[in-house]
Amino acid sequence: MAQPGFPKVYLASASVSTPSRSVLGTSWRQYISQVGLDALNKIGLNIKDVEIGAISYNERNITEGAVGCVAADAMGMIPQPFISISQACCGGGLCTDTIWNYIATGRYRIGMVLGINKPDNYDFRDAMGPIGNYADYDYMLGFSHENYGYLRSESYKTRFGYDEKAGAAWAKQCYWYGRRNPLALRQIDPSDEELEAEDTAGYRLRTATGRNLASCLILVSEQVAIDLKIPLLQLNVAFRTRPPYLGNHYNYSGHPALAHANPSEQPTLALAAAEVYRNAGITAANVDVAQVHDLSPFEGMEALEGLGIVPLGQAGRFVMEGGTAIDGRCPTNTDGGAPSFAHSSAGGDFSSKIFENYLQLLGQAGERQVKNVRVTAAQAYGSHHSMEVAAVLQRVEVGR
Amino acid sequence: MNDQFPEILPRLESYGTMRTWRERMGRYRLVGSRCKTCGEKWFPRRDGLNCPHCSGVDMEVYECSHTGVIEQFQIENMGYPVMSYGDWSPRIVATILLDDGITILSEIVDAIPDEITRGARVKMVLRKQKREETGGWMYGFMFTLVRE
Repeated sequence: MAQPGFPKVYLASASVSTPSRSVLGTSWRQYISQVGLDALNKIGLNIKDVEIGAISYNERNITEGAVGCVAADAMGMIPQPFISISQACCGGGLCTDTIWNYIATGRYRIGMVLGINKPDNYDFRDAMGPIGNYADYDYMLGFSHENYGYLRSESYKTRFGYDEKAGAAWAKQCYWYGRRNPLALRQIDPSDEELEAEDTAGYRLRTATGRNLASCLILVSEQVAIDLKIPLLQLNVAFRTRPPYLGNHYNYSGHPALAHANPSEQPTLALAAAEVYRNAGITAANVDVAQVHDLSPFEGMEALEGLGIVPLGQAGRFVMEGGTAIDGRCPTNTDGGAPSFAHSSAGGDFSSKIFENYLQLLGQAGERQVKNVRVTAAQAYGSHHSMEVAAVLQRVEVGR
Repeated sequence: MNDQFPEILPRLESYGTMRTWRERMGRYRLVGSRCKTCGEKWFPRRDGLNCPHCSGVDMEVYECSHTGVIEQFQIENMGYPVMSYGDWSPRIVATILLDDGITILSEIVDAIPDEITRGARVKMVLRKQKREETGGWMYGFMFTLVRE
């Protein structure tokens, strides 16, 4: 199915840590080591087989920088190369893209992508703002990601005529999946009235909750995948950027795709999705299951539209009509999404979505398993939509 | 802030005195940049950078319009206010479309939440914002409703 002649990279294994808001007795080194070794054990690989690694983190919870060598040491991989990328929520996507390229070029055959989010380590809430934002003119003046998210949601609602009922429908579906996922953090069943409430409690139910998370993806070349006799899960990934200052999300003249956009839409994601679909040899219509980054429900809807799965402005109705349900047109956030599985920033807001798609493709998603899954999509953003990552994970046969 | 620490404890670079000093014209008067080649206007300033529209490198000082309309707004009385702003809630945070077509992010002051509507006309005012790392007060732009 993939584009002929385009390099092929496969997801061999994946792992995420168990649900927790706090793992105070565990260092971040131990945390990543546990998931890394778990992912390798699943396919019978040893850490000495891994030729290159990358770790996604950010200063919100690891105060030190340049942690690549520390991660390599923690994993027992010294002297192999190990890249550290400080990024916001989509950091796992950037690390995946980096390792993907090393394997696609044939330079290495087996690579490891780690992610770490451990806010109980160092959750200086103030550090949340400057990560990737235009700190001089948002954070310095007292505006955080929370403000960005709220204003973006308002843009979507007012432009396309939705209210909190659409957001509540999104969250309700997420909780339905989350109650069927042992790895989801917030396994609750709120009433429609609670979900639609316009107070702080209702807002908190509809939007993300935070968690600690360590994640690991193992990427391999086609020959390694064949030798390991594992299902061939072909992975493609692409990312694009958007200005870090929210004001410049309006009519940005630096690129035609952004020139008439505003925060209610995701043209940058559409560019990334176009590349990843082309490389994967699919279209949005082929996507059976999607995992998107939904710190607020309306951002999740914008993501479905940016991925081309739903036309612009239609995702609210799509959700309310059951389009994201297990028997809907495109089951979405089957891991429970940010309201239920929870938000883990650089630790796994990208990688945990790949992990869920991996389970869906292998038929290992339990009660939330979608039937006949062949093609999955994942999306994550960072720095409040200033970085958008899109990925396709699909099951293929040898030589396809 | 709390009883023990009644004011913010600047620990991050975004509270840095040099950083706030460098951006003083933007904070005091909404000074951005205009590309001398294509005329495109930018906020925040892009002097020393290039123009994303035409890639030109000659920028001139451009003072953005001090009036505009509220595009979107948030009555921020929930969530995680940035440090030192928690005691000031509810804050009114808004994106503002200035009369010259630039969109900025700012706070609406001297108003109560019920007065705020999309499309309401606003004008820039200068207000005390927070202490920078040396302890000096940092001032910056905010907006208030235009009351005829």
